[in-house]
Amino acid sequence: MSDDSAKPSDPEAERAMQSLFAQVQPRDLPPAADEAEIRRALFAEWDAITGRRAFLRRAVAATAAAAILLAMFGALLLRTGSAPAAVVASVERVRGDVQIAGAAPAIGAEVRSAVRIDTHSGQVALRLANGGSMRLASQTRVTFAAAGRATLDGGTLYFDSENGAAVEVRTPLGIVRDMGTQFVARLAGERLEVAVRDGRVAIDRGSGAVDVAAGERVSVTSGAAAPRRERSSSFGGDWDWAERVAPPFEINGRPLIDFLQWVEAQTGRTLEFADPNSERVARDTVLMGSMDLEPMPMLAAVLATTDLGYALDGDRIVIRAGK
Amino acid sequence: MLAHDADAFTEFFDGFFPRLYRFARTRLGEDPDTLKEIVHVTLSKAIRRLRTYRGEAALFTWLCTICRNEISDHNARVARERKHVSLTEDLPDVRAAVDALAAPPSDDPEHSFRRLETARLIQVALDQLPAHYGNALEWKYVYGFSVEEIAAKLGVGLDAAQSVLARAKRAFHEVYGTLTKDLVAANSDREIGTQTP
Repeated sequence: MSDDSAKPSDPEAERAMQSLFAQVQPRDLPPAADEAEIRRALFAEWDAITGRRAFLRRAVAATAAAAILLAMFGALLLRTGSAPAAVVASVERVRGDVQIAGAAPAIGAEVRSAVRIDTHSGQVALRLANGGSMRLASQTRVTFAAAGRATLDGGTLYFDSENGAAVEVRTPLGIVRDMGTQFVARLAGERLEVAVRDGRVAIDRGSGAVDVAAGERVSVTSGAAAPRRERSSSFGGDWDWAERVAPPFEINGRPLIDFLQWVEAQTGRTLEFADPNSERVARDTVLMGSMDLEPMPMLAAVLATTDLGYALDGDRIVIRAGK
Repeated sequence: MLAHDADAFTEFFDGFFPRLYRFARTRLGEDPDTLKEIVHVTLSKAIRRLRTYRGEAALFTWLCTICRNEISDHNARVARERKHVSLTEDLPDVRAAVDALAAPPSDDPEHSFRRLETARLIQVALDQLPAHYGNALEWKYVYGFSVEEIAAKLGVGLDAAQSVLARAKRAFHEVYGTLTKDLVAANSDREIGTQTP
């Protein structure tokens, strides 16, 4: 039997330990949000590396969800006897407490015109019927008149025209019109801020339009004061929240280069290859499986299954051979 | 973990993440974004290289080695980008004036430093121990939990908890003794000096 078992400690040694520890504080714990984020990303990476895929589980879940939605839609038609208002968008991702027409939406739920969206403490990513991607930050209130026409009553929205879809955002301080772009509009009280990452945006104030170019943030207020212009970085700051709520990217059967370009677009960073061979590998590699993570953790997880790695260097994502 | 056992992943993450986070923070300071990035990359690389881990070193030591390399790469990148800055206090005249200032003996910064350093090294030693040893000692001597409470937290009986504590204390003394060899020597010199009338 071990001499460790339940034997009372030597009082002298015990006093020495207590004295030694007298000045010691409990060890700090990492921030819970960081821990949760890293755990989720690592789990996906580990899951991918150790070979398990969730195809079947996802397919069954998606089929079941579609069947339920179809049944609900049919029931609605039967009950009302007429077609509901036009569908202007569908929900691609939702986080936290978001309400659409007073109810919590599911992934894939349709958004109809004239329906109020209130994100409360949550965030939501919408796919507009015209193809654009719109994301709403927390404490944001939006109503759609049509797929490309939204009214922002307060809060922050992000728009990415992706395949050339246009949008017009009405606010009490002017109408924001994009011209093929990625931008953020933030309405807070008597102040409207528009930051542009790519392309151009015009703020139509009735008395004239204010142009906002890529890399700029322009603020307008309800008074006659001239618009204020500042530099705006293409990543971090204004864009972090929109990156976190980016809609999922289906990787199955897609070339790695497509995925890397998606990460570039979602993060606002510039994609570069360390050498021609890395770029060739990215073009030749076809991805299999499915994964649902935020862009940067997903980049780490996807590259872990390939012969490539990456490094962040300022605003650049450098893809290189090896890990 | 290589056999795709989710419980093994959880045990790995829960056991090593907080310790590695503290290890990196000591070396990187309070830049939360860099800290998060380095810890994430370290664990990510460890998972990818897990097949190459041969067990010659403790797993935590292996993680610390990867983390050190990441920090070193990060520092090299930052150094490349950093512009050379001349601080006012580095000008020869100013520096001579600053060096001439003497702190009042009552402040005894050396003693304060050693006290803080001792406390820090105890935390480092706790992190170097197997997670349940470090936790058991912290619960007992920092939080003041009873053996019964520690047994409940560990999910074992009273005898087993006593046994864990006894083994943890022996392991702690071994690690802490190694870490503080120089510090203890310095303390001894000082104590001998203060006994002189």
